[in-house]
This record gives sequence, structure tokens and C-alpha cells, in this order.
Amino acid sequence: MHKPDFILLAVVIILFFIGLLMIYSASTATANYRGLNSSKYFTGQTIRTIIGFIISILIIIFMKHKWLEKYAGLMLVISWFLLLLPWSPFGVIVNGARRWVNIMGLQFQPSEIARFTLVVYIARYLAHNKDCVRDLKNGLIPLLSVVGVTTLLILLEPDFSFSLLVIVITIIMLILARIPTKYLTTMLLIGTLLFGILALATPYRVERIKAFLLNDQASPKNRYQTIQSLISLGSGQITGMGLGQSQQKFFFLPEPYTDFIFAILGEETGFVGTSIVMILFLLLLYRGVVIARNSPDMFSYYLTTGTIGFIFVEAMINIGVVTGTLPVTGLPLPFISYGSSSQIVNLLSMAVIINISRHTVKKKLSALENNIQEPFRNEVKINYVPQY
Amino acid sequence: MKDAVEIQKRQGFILIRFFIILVFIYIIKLFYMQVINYKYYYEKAKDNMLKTDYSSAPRGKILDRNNKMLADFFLSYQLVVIPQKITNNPDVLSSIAKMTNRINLDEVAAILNDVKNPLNPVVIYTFIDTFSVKKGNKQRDEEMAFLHKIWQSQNEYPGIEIHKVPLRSYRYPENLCHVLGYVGEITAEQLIKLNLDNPNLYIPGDQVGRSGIEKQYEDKLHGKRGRSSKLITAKGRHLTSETIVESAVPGKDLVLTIDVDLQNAAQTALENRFAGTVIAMNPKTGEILALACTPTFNANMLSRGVSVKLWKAISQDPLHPLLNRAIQAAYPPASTFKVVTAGAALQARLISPFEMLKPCTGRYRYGDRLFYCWEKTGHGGNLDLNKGMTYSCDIYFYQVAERLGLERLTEYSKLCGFGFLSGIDIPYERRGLVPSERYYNLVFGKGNWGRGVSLNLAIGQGEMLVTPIQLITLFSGIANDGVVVQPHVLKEIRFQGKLEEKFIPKTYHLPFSKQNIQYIKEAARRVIAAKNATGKEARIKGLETAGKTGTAQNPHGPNHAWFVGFAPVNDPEICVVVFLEHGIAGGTYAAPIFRKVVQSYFALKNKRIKDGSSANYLAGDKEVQTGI
Repeated sequence: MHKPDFILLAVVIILFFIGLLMIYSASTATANYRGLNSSKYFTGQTIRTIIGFIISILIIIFMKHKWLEKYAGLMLVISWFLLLLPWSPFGVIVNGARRWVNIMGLQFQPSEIARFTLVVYIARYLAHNKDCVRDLKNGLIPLLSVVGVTTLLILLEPDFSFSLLVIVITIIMLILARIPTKYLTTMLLIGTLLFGILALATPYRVERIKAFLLNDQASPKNRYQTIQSLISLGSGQITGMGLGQSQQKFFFLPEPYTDFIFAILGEETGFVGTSIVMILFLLLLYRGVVIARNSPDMFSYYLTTGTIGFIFVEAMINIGVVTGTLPVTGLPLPFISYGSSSQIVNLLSMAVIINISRHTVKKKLSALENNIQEPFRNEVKINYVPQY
Repeated sequence: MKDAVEIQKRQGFILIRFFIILVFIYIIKLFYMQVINYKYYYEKAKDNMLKTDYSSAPRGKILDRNNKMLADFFLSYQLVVIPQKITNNPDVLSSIAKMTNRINLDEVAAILNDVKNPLNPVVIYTFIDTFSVKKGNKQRDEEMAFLHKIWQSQNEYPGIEIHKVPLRSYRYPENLCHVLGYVGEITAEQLIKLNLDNPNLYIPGDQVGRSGIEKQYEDKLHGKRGRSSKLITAKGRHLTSETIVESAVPGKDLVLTIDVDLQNAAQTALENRFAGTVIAMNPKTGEILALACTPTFNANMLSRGVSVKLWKAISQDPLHPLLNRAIQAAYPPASTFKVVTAGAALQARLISPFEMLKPCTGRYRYGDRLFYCWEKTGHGGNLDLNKGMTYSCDIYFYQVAERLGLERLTEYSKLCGFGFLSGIDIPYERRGLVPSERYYNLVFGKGNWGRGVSLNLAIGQGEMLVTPIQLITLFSGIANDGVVVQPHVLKEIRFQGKLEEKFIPKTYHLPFSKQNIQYIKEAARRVIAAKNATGKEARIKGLETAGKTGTAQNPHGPNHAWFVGFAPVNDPEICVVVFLEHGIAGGTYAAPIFRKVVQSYFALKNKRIKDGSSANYLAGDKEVQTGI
């Protein structure tokens, strides 16, 4: 055991800090309009972040990641149960989607919990069944059915883009587990087909994709969000209009403090701000890779890559939407966007990674290239340490 | 097997590289948007913030030379939608549409889909002219009830507003339709074109001139809207009280050279028996006193939005009511062209006015072709210029044409203004056609046409095409002793009652000497005054007139009839051309119309002298600069 990865910790704290700043700026207009205290969203987010940080510190100091490994299956089953809750009287329907549960004033999104427990479960599965990715019948299919059930439950909410994200992360983890190319291509094909059909079956998704592909020819009504988002980014110029000076947040840009907060960031802090955030996410990825490379065992290896990968991919999709590179989806920007469950889960999962970073074993770069199974050797060594 | 493992191992690295590249692609994209191309977005962001309220500026009035109102405006109501407010309450539109059957939801949706700035109002319906349509009209009553309903409960329909707008109204919608033209709602293309220099000059729903004076002087007539822009949020609340204000400037008023009483007289004289045109012009000043065309259309109806049915009826009418025959239709000039033939021959010293040419026997041999006179039995006896003109003898002019030749003939007709725009300030004028040797070579092929064409041209038949305005320009030049003044309809431009600009016409000289023009004038006088002359129907007691008849052979039906002339001969005040499509014969049908118009001109003049307001007729005489 040694010191945690302070760089990663710093990156997370800076991102949270930027997020709180942007939420304060972007949410006041909406809060005022809804007749709430203008700093309501900011206060809520700050309190959650502080509570999250306190729990995180406890996790970083006291948690053993073996616990997660041990109870991975149980946690997944519990989160499946939670995913069913929106259909119970506890469910809260927002805009026709059952994504929220309200138990005695405590509101949360079960899908956010499920995505973490699923990553934990996949990590355990891949770590425990060494060659499972090569064994279709006893390895891949059971794993994929577990992923499938989780995805289906999320899809039913419905939360299309989130379930797509879950699939992407599963595939990334399988790639890291050295899944044979033929299985990978088949999976990609089937997945593309299924999600393609699902996307085309709903008119508003078709509209969004059309608006994205046709670009300028599409009716401005369907492109409204993207257009407004680009206007926000572009009008920020190099150094931005200054904190709190965004004009687009006055209802020109929809969702200014959740999905499109990056656009407000671009408007208020300009290219300097946006590129700093991009670099912070890149740094997050880099530190994640370093921790994974030096991870003490296979479970923590997969857990780190899965968690970091999830956050990174989610961020990239969100920024892709905001910069008009991808069609409009409903994914928030991790750490920065306003949101209770995603915020807590992101924070706690990062705490787990930082906890793992305390147990890393320094390896040469070539170790990873020569033998990806190096962590196992460590485990063996640890087992042979004489007990005094 | 080892290779496969290598590939799998690399997948993880490829993944990381892919992520890194992705981040840099985003950074490059952000750099492009925020550092290189920021201006584009910055401008759009400004647009987002500004809500502009427009106050309307009425179009300039149009007056006749005696300050009689020809076109002004009435206040109309328009149903207007603020797209941003509607998107939040889509039911409002459908509940509005339920109240009346005059709003098509699909059309409105199409309009709203194309909106650029969702904060600026969009006109979705213009109410009927409640001032000119009397009470008791079913449509009017329905609309007024609808209007009041919305007015009373405007709070229930957020995003729907009723605006009061000044719309064009014509006092003589039928009689002046071809001079004034009509207006219509601005199209998307025009909006871009007209707003090139001044981005806020026009907004959707504005009226622009579609034809006639309205189009020609659009830049003068169009008023400048008042604007007040406020910085606001997308939900419509004001961020600051800071406003940019520009006050409305009404359009400039136009005073025309048209005398509306004479115009009405001309229109009455034309009747609706023929499709045709009458132009009356002051030969000394180039002022068009009347320009009547039949058939007419109702400019008020066309200006207030035409139904598809009405538009079809107008545009597919075989008589083409939208066609301004005075300037847009070109016909063979027929015998009226003999003036040019004679003038050219005199000027080239190929004939003398008193020279007797070979007698008319009804036919004339040129080469191996026989050319006939319109009088099949012949005019008998030898003819000089005066007689040749008086009886419009074709044989006389065949002989003149033989001396002239094709080249000289076409050259002189071009110098007389044929084949060129007369320069009248009404848009879409046509040039007509003066066929030259090159033209015949092109159409018939080299060597496939005979020199005989010049004989046909000399009497105004054949391929030559002239517009009535070209012909009257020529004759007013003759009346004015060779000086042609550019015909024009605009007299002056006034702004808020003050004279701002006067129309100064250009002039040029006919290619004939003063003496030769005197010969032609004398001949033209005899066309009306002589015994049994072709133009005797145009004779007016106590007034010396000169003119020329014309009957254009028309292979597609009855002949076209021409009459063009001026009065009085010694000091011409008015020059009139009459053209009747399928008018059968110039002397019989066109000449009486000329007489009526000239008579009503002098009747009006005498009446005005009596009333002491003759100044308008004489004004401007001295201002015209007579150039070469």
C-alpha cells in the first residue's frame, strides 16, 4: 500500500470544481424562471458533491476492492431489482420516461447504479474465467446474457443512449480481455443491427439522425439544439465572454446546465476553457491507463479500464453532441453536468479507482506489452510471502 | 496462432490511440469554431438576443399631374405569429384554425418551419380590406367576427398578435392597372436580393411592386420601417431596457405625368371591344398623358393576394390582360411606317416631295415578283409624296423603297428609334425588331431571300415589329420638329409634400432635316384633311390634326389597326397612338378613337383654363433641353 494517484484525484477535483462553477452560471436563469431560488441547483449539487467527497475519502482510505469482487453478483442482482422499481409506485415519470425512483424523498436513477455494478460484475467475470472470451458456450454467452438483461432493463425505461453506452463499454472491456476478432466482429454486427432497428423504429430518433446527416438541409426546428449549441461555442471565441456572461443560457440553448453545459463552458471561457477540459479528460484517461497497467490483479485491471472507459466515452459522446459531431443524445458530461445520481456514482467509482491506485505495483512499460497477464504473477508472489 | 495473439494484444493500444486522436479531433474542431470561424456564430448569437418590433411605414402615394390621388393605402389587419411562443403552445394554432376555415394549418406549419429568427413575427393571414368592402358582405362579416374574437381574448392565445398594416389601395384599379402595375407580398428570393445593401429594409409580409410604376420606382416608394430592438431572453422577457430605435420613414410620393381624366377618357374610347392600347403624349416634353390598355385587370384584387383560381383566370386569359400592349407587344407598323420610308428617301435625296412617280395600277413588278397595292383597282394617275401618303398608296412607296434599298431603310428605321427601347420608365419594355440583311441571312439562309423584302418593309409589312410606344415616340419627334423627347410617366418625386427630384428626360434628333420634316408633316396633315383621305375619320372641326393610318396584315386573323397622329399641326400639344389588335382597319376603327381622345384632351384643357388651373399642362415646356 502506498500513496494514492494524486494526479487523478486532482483531475477529478478540478473537473468537479469547473462543473460547480458552470452549473452556478448556467442554472440561475432557469431557476429564476421556474420561480426557485436562483442558486437552488448549485446548492443541491454542491451539497451532493461534498457528501460524495466525504464518502469518497472513506472509500479511498478504508475500502478493499476485494469486497467489490466478492459481492459483484449480489450487487448486480440488487441493481436489477432497482431497475424494476420505476414501474412500482416509487417510480417517477419525467417526459414519459421511467428513469427515476423516489423512495422517501431520496431520488435516484437506478440505471446509473446498474452501470457501475455491471462494470464490476464484468470485471470479476473476466478476471475469474481466464479464457472465457474464447469459449462461446460457457464463457461469452452467459456474460452477454447478463449484459443483455441489464441493457434490456435500461432500454425499457426507455433510455436508448445510456443502454448503447453500456454496450460500448462491455465491448471495450471484452477487447481488453482479448476477445477473438471473429467474435468481436459478429458482436459488433449484431449490435449495430439491433440498435439500428431500434433507432429507426422511433420517429424522434429518426428525426434527430436525419437532422444530423442532412445538416443544413434539415429543417431548423429539428436542428435547433445543435444550432444553438454551436452558436454558444462559437461566440465564446478564444477567451470567452467571461464567467456568468453567457447569453445563450437565457433559454436559447436548451438544457444549459445538463446535457449542453459544455456549450455554456465554451461560451463563457472560450477555446481556453474547452481545451483545458478536453486535456483534463485526456489526463484522466492517461492516469486510468497507468493505474490499470500497474493494477495488482486482473479484477482491478478490468474494473479500472471499465470505469475510466465509461466516463471517458460518455464525455466524448457528450462533447461530440455539443460540437455537432454526433446526433443529439441525452448523455450528460461526467463531473460537470448537473445530475444527482450520475454525479454520486461517478464520484464513488472514481474513489474506487483511486483506492486501487494505492495498491498498484510499478511495472516497466514493456511488461504490459510482453505479457498482459503480469498481474497474476504478482498475485502469486503475494501468496508466497511468508507469514510472520 | 502467435499472430492472432499479437493482433488481440494490439487492440487495446489501438483503442487508446483512437481515444487520443478523438480528443485532438475535438480540440481542432473547437479551435476552428471558437478561434477561426467565431464571427459567424457571434453574429448569430446577436440575432438570438435581439427581438425586433417593427412599426410599419406606408408606401408612397402616387398622384396624377393634377394632384389627383391614384394610389394610396388603407389600414388592414394581419394575423401574426411569434414562432418561439407557438412552439411552447402548439395547441394555440389549431384552436385558432378551428375558429375559421381561412387558415390552412399545413401552410402555416410550412411557413413556421422556415423561420430564421423564432422571435420575429410571421404573417400568417391578411384580413380582407374592411374599408372598401361594405358591410353585409358575407366574407367581411365572418372575418370581422373572427378578428374581434381574437382581439377580445388575446391573452388566451400567446404568440398570436394582430397587427395593423398599411396596404396599397388603388383609386382606379382597372383604368390605370398597366401604368401603375400592382404590388404583391415579397418572395423569399426578392427578400434576399432587396436586402443586400440594407439588411432590414424588407421583412417577410412586406408589399413590393410587381409591375409598372410600382416596380420601376420600388426604391422610392418603399418606406423604411421603424424598428425597436430589445435584448431579451428566449422566453421573451427583457434582459435590459436598452433599445435600438429607428423611426419609421414613409415612402416617397410620386407625381405622374398622367392626367387621370384623360386616361379615363382614353379607356372609355377604347371600350373593351378590342384588345388594344391608346397612348397620349406631350411631344414637346415627352410626358405620357394617358396610357390605356385593354383588357384590364383589377390591380386591387391582384395586390391583396390572389386566390389560385383568380390567378389562373387572369394568367390563362387568351387576351392576356396582364400584358401592357403599349410597351410589351410588338406588331408590324403597317402604313404608319411609310413616314420613315418617305423621310429616309427625302433625307437621302432619292426623291423630291413634288416628284411624280409611276402611276398606281394596283400592282407593281419588282424582279420576278408582283407586289400589290391595298387598293386593288389602283389609285390612278401619277402620285407625289403628299398623295402617296394621303391615300397610303403602296405602289408609290414600292418605288421609293426600290431607290432606298434594304440597308438604308433599316439604318433609318433604327435611327428613328425602332429596334431600341424608347426609354419609358415602365419595366419590361420590348425592343421590337428591325430586320437587317444579317437577320435575313440568319433566318432564311444566305441567298434564300430576295431584295423584294425591302419593298414589303417600306410599307410596314413583313418582319419589322414595333411597339406602340416606339411609334408614338417617332411621331412626337416629327411633331416636335425632329427633337425626340424620352417618353416618361414620372413627373416628380415628392417627400412629405416637398419636391425632391424632377424627371429630366433625354432627347435626340430624328435623322431628318427640319425641311424634310415639314414635308412629312404636311403630308400627314393631308392624310386627315384631304378629300377621301384614309384618315378622314380623325378629322376634328376647328382643329388642324396630322396623322397616319395603318392596317397590318395578319395571317392569324383579322388585320391589326393603327392610327398615330398629333394636334394641332402648327404647335403640337398632344400626340396619340391607337392600336387595336385585330382592329380590322386603321382608318375605320382606330382613327375615331384618336379623334375622341384628342377631343377630350382639348375639352379638358379648355375646362381647366376656365377653372384657372391650366398651369399643369404648360409646365415643363421650357425645361426640356433640345439637344441635337
